[in-house]
Amino acid sequence: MTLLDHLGDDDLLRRCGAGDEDAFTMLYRRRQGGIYRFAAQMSGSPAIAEEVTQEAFMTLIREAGRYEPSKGSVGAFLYGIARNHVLRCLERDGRYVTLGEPDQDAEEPKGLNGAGASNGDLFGDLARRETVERVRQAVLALPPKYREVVALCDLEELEYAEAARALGCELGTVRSRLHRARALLVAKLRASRTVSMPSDTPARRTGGW
Amino acid sequence: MNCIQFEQQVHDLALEKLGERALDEALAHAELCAGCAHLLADSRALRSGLRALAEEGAEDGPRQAPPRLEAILLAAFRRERRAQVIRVRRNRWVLIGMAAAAALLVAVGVRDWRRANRQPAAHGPLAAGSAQSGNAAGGAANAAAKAPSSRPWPRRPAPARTSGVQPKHRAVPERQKPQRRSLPSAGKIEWATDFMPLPGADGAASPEAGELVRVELSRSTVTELGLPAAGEAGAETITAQVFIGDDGVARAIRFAQ
Repeated sequence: MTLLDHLGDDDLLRRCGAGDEDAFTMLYRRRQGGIYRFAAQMSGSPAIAEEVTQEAFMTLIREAGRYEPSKGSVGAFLYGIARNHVLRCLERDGRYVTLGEPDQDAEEPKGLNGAGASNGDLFGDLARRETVERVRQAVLALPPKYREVVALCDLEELEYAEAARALGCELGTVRSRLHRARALLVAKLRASRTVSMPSDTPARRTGGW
Repeated sequence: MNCIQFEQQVHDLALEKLGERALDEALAHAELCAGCAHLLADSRALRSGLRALAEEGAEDGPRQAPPRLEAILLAAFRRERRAQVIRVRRNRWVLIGMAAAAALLVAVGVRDWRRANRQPAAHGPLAAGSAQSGNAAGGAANAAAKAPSSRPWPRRPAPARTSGVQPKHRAVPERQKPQRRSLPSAGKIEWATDFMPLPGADGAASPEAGELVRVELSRSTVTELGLPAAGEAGAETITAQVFIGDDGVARAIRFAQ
């Protein structure tokens, strides 16, 4: 436990601006996971998620002075940068979203090779993975403006106000978009249960409804 | 609670964010309405699915950026830091240079202002139509500096100069000012001689412009210069007109009768 552990993000960012490498490392380790996951959930691509995470922190390195504490937290600032980069990437790639690009081992449940895995664990794990995959596809199929609120509020569990600052919109807009996004997801999951998709089908689809 | 109200609150119900009263009302409605009960079940399924999606990834925790990214960003941080230091140093030198330039400009401005303020004091009487004169004895330099009176090319107020001799001080100090004495106006002077080249002016290039300065010289000074003295016989001083090129060198002189 170091002194930096006790510092808030604002103080760490201020130290970063003064050239404190340890402060930058601490801030990066504290925030990179959320940014990476947000970008992955928005794009469905680990490569884009990595690119976006790198770009977000590069922007932080170069333009730390742009951050204004009165406009929100460092987290919201970073999510805002990441969101802009993700949207650019999606635009660049022609809104082509890769659905269901899980980790290599996701297709092969660990229970199959894991020692001591019972049948109950195996089936439960398979069901859980199937659910996760269906939800991921449903989220990725949302239009970006709905996808981003789901990613921030439901997946990264940001406060609505923080999400509003990250997205640069009003709190009421976040609430209404989130409500609409959840309704769309429910409808999408209902449809996917009715017409189940084979799990070994390459799941690629353009974004949007 | 009706179905529309239930639909508006179903996600908060699934997230268990409803207050106690609203929760009771919503659950009571779901028991009576099969459609809303189904919607609640779907919302809860969505909630658990989203939670599972958020937690998916490595066994020891949620997904993270690859470790190599930290090394890449740290290297970028160091590079940016070095560049920042260089920028700060460069900006410091630019500031120093600008400050020096500003100081130089101020110094030049002050010098010119002082010069401009001194010269009217030395030549002020000329503007009133009178001319200064004084004792021309003591050399040509002093004599020439005493009484400029006519300026065919009034380019700038300049002290009178003599041939080939650069005055050390352009302005006449206040206490050395000669007594005022009336000179004949330019229109009434009859020039006894043509312009005669002054010694030392031969080697100088022809000026593009110049000034005519009227002075009073002591007769002995004129004799020392080897010029034929004119003017009234017996007079101590001789009125003369000196042509001074724009390079400051006196080129020629003529004498009044």
